[in-house]
Amino acid sequence: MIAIVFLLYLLVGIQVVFKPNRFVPLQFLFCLFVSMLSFNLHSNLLGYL
Amino acid sequence: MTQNKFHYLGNVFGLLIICAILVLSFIDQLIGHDFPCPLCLLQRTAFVGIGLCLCMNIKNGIKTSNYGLMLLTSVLGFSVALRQVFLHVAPGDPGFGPPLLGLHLYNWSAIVFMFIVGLVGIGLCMNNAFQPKVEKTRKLVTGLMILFLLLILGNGVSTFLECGVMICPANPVQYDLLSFSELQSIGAELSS
Repeated sequence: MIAIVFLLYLLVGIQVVFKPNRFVPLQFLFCLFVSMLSFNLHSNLLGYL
Repeated sequence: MTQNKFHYLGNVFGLLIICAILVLSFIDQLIGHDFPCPLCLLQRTAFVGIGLCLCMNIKNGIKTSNYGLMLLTSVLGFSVALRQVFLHVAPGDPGFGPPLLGLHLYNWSAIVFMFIVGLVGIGLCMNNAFQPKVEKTRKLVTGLMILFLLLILGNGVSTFLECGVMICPANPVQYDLLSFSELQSIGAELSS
């Protein structure tokens, strides 16, 4: 799952460097959201609820 | 030096530091044979996110929205680092990985994330810095951004080899996709 996060960040990075457009911040926020979900999965914090 | 120029140079220097952090973690992984845990990898993704915000500032001009995204990424990275600190905070716990200058890498990354939050706060105080971009990006800076993209690709490939696309093991000891037993089981599945 973290490999997918890196892939998404790479796609955003390619757009930032080679073809900037107005949807980049939105895509970046999506990457951040996926990272947060990944943190939720990997932190084992759910077991303490 | 105008505030805008000061911000531009600060962002370039920040990108240089982020690239150095990613290269050092790669050296620790490949030469030191220290397999990164899932939380370590998530801290790397946070550094990558901060680097992308710096790239956006360099490429599209200094904007408050980019600093806002950087702040969100720093807070996420700090949360991940803090979680790992709490995992190893018990007395007698040896911690994860080798220490660097007396502190483990996750302690250092928590400090760096907090430092970035402070720097973003200071940067946002400079009102005159937020202007549309006028000058072209220099080739050296473009090269630095391409190096940063290559580092993201390298991290993605190594993470894929270590964990595949599923949830990473909590304490990895080998590259899952390169292990002999894994290859044997795939071969057995194919032959049956």
